[in-house]
Amino acid sequence: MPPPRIFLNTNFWIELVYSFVTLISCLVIYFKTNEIYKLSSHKGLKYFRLTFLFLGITYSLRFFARMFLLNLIFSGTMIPVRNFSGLTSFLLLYTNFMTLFYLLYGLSNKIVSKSLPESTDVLHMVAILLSSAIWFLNLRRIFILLNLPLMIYILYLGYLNYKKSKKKKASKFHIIYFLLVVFLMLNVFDILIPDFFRNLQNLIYLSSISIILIILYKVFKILSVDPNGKKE
Amino acid sequence: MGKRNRLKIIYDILNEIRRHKNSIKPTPLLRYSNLSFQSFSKYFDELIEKELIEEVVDKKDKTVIKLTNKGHEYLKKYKMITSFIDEFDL
Repeated sequence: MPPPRIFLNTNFWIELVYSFVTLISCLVIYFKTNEIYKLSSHKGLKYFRLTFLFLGITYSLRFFARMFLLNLIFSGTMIPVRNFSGLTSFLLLYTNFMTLFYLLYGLSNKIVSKSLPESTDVLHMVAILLSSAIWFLNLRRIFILLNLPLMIYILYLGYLNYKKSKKKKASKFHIIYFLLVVFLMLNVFDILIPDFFRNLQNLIYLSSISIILIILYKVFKILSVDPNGKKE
Repeated sequence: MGKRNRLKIIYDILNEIRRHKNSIKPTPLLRYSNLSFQSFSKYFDELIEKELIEEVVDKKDKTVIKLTNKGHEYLKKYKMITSFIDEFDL
């Protein structure tokens, strides 16, 4: 019996490996930081962890949306692919905005800790509103424009943190966060406007994975240091 | 001395308990913490609620404060937590 058609498609394997590596990296960051969050109950840590949880979900949804676009799932069956594809894309937009919001919330914590509301219900509502507007009003092309202010705000927070820092040491991580958001946006845009980055797709995948792996490496590096000064 | 942040205040309180052989009465702990009564009470309640410390009645029938396992763990991992927060600018 020949293998199912899906397994013969190279794109399927590229997408599967890409999504698997990003999802696992994000989940490792989320679970690896669980202990220090439980001990400290630090708000910034809480939102940092949620950022990576939502980032992992976003990349998983992206995988399914991509499979629908490549027509690799349910092709030739009676199941309406378009409905599934629409719902997945809507959820993808929602998790994309939540990832951005949690990242901004986490980074703002250092500057405006006391004025940040505990509940993030408003963020979820705004994310649903933005996703609905983009999806139902067919504003897919302005998706990048909606992300732009959030990206500029990340750089602005980096500047504020630098100004606040006594050692006047600029955090390298604001550049990493910025790149993380840029590549997340490109990944989602690629689903909204299929094959927009046709020739650049592999470069985007490689860059996205590299950024997440840099963060994962840094998380491991810090959390594997034994309090007595030895590596665990 | 600069203004202490929340994590440093918690570290100082827990460290004070450890320094007193893991058994200290609430009043000296308040004195050593360098906090107002109101602030201290807020932190004290939080530490009890998060199970970093516990109130125990000793042999002389007096209430003393002790570190829990989680409290010891916090002291052990404090440096790791602060370097993580600093490095990731949180």
